[in-house]
Amino acid sequence: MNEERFDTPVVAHPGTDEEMDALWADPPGFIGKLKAVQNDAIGRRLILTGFFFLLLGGSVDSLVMRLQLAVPENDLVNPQLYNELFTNHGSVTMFLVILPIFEGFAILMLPLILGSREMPFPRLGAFAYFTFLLGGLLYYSATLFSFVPDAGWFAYTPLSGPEFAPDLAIDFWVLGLGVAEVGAIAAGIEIIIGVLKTRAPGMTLSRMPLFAWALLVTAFMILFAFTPLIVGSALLELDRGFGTQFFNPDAGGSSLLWQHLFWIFGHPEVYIQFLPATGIVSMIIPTFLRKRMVGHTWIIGSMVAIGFLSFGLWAHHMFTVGLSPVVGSFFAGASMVIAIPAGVQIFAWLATIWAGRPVWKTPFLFVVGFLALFVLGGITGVMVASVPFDLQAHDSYFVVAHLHYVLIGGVGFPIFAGVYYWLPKVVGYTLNETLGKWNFWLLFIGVNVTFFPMHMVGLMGMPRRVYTYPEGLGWDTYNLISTFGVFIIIAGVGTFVANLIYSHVKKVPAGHNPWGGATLEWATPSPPLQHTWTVPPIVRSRYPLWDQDDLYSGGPRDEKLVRALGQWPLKWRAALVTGTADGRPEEIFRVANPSIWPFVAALGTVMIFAAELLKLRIGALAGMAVVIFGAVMWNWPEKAAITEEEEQEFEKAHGIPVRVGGSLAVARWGMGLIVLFVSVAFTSFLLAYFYLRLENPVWPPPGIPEPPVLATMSGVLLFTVAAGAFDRGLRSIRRGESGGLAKWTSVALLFGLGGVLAQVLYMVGLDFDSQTHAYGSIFHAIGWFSVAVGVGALIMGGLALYWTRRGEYTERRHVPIDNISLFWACAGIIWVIGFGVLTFAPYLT
Amino acid sequence: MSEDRTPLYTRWPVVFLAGPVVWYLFFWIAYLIAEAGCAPGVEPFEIFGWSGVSFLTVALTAAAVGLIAWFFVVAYRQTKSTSLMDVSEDPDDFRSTFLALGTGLAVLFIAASLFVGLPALVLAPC
Repeated sequence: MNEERFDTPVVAHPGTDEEMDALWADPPGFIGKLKAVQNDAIGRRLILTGFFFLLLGGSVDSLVMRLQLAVPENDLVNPQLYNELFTNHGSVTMFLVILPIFEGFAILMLPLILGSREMPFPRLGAFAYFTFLLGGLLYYSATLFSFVPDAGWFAYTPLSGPEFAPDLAIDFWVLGLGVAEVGAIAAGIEIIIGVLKTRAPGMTLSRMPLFAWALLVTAFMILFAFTPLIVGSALLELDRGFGTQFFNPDAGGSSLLWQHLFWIFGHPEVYIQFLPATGIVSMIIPTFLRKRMVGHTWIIGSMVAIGFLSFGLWAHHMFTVGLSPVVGSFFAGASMVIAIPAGVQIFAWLATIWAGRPVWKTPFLFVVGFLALFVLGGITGVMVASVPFDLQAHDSYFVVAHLHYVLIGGVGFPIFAGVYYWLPKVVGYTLNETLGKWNFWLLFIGVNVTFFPMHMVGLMGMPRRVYTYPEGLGWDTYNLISTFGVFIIIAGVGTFVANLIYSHVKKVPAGHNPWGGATLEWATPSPPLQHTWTVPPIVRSRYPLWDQDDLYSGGPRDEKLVRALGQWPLKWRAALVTGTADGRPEEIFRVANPSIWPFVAALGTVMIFAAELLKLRIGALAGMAVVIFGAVMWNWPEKAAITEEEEQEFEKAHGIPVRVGGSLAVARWGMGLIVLFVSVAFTSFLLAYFYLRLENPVWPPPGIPEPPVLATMSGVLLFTVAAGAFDRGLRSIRRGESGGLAKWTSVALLFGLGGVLAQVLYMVGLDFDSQTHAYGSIFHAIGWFSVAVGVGALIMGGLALYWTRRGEYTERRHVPIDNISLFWACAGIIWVIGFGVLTFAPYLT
Repeated sequence: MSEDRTPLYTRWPVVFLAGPVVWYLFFWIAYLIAEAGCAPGVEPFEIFGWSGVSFLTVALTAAAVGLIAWFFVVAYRQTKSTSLMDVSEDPDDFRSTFLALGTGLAVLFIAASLFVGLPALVLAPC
């Protein structure tokens, strides 16, 4: 081990560098910016846009709220405006700030840290950014129309329902944030595949840096958490715009169903924010302590444990709704247990700090601040995990104190740490150290002055979300101190902005490795090349720059491969796919070029949501058409950059396949995750069905007959035959029989169309509607969702047939058929279970 | 690769995630039983003189603990060293790393199962 040597291995090969940079650069001009897919561009945009929303909703709103609460019986703002302020503050920080910033960090830094050239689906990253931006703007446009949401960031029904919120404010909330949620899921899919499949040769899972681990767990959590929220939001919008009764107790619905769906997202959401922060902390500590992380492996285990446990905690936000004692104890128990893996992480970090030699630079200061603040917040978290205590503290300022300590301390401070740590790499110059220290101390003091008194005033009984309070309750001084603290925070944030401007003007060069870091990103130039790595590195250690004499020595095959990749290809964008666990090179694939279609698809997405806002159903259909068209064009096969013979020549020389038509491994993972997303959405619908069933002793309600088995299941039979036929088509092309593929795809489309038509006729002919009772609402919801999935399968099948007839597929090149077959299988299963539940559940339950 | 011939339940990805996955399945089943058992219009039922919901919760807890403990043994027998710290810190052998993690996660999720399930012994179910 040689931790003192921070020489940067030479990575630049001048001639090839220039050609590759030109190849990988995004196009110039305004249209070029819309077509941009390069990870630097997308990552920066996500981070900057997140900060922009922070200044809007995280800062101005909170300042006004604190000014209002500075003295008792204040009238700076009225109650309605106060409701809008705390709704906006919570919604913006929780949806439009923290997660986009971390996803931006991920897309920007992961290729550098993992030793890859790009994220695996650059166009998906671009789509994620545009949906986030447009969704946020749609949400904020509410202000222009004076329809500002005011029901809290959690929008509980019935307050957010059609009866008590008849205007468009909540629709802006649901639909604007819904678009942003789609973007979050898209970025999550890209991060999963990037971390698992595009790493440097030799980077096994156990050598993978902890930041990558944190993002991997987080991205899976996004898929499992955001999807129920999208389903819940869809049900809320159906109640508001289409007259359904999911959340109306007077018609068989349940207000608590919304709370469950929301918090099944809402609690994992805070860990979705916390885990990337722990990843950043885990990267900074070894660098500034000059010490390998103590308990590196156990931190991985803690992250995974937190990922699972966080999905069993949600109802601790609902302890006061009347849960049964045993149900409350489930969530209390899980809420306490999660402190164990969190504690393991903290002790690992403390042990590393204890054993190392601290270098007290700004990134490390923020990490120390994080430790202090997060531990404090975590302790109060265990307190409120206890049901009896929470029954007193729920909805008091004690909880406000807790959440701000864990979110500002546990998430905000690591964000600042990450910016100070990695910004020199991204822009090529350092941030000023003196201003950085002022930034830290002002924030640290400000956060404590603002939020510590809230523990006391909360225990004294001050409730949350009140726009004022009477004199003489003993709350006055604490509130005044909290308000004073906000100005210290503002000074801290202002210092940060000043530092950015000052450093940008001064531009003190950072060099390759200003901190002496050990991980791969510090081996690249600052700022990095467009293609990140000319010659992919070979990794033989968790701390390659500390342990390895150079980055290109390894097994003879790997050495030969990476050197070859440094010279070829130079006419198309090539990246390496490696084994999920062992980091062994598996294939070379062609990375997607810049494209306008992700932007078009994002526009179509926001068109759907905006049209629904205006109740323009035809606009929603038009938006759907735009999305489908954009997605088809996005994935339209491009002319192969090389012939099959050239592919085979490379394969013979290096032993791994070249797939210019798309990576088999990456595409399979992508479709697998889309199938997972659809499955989680479907499961959310099923859970809503059974929850409503439990709330209604008579099911179906009087006057609605039990579903006829034959009519419901005949379409299902046709569709499952179709799925089987598509699978036969896949087997044909695997034998090289494109005629067989065409035949079986045609059969699949015929039976599939028959099945969809049969189910559509059945659903349209139902003698009960979706608006009278929750039974009808959920029946129609599940039925039409299943039909939509079936239509999606038909569209993919139709495209497959079209490309088959054009001769696109061969025995060697048929990746899309593999993927479409997987989707068909998923659709078939959804049809069987979905229509099966609708048909048989009334009889069986 | 020798790993391909080993039974599925002994492979490191399964062993690594067994604890959390079994716990999560147990959590959901127990929760759904408790919700269903306490739903309006559902008659309380008893099993061996206990409240049905409490009995089933405790039984599921025992089953979850037992299953996770079994995976712990499967993982532990495959770790190459008696010192989990040595094994876990060897990044060149990722299989042993994740087997060792599997033992740790199994212990944690046994505790999590007990935290979640044992209160049913003393609390009123509905």
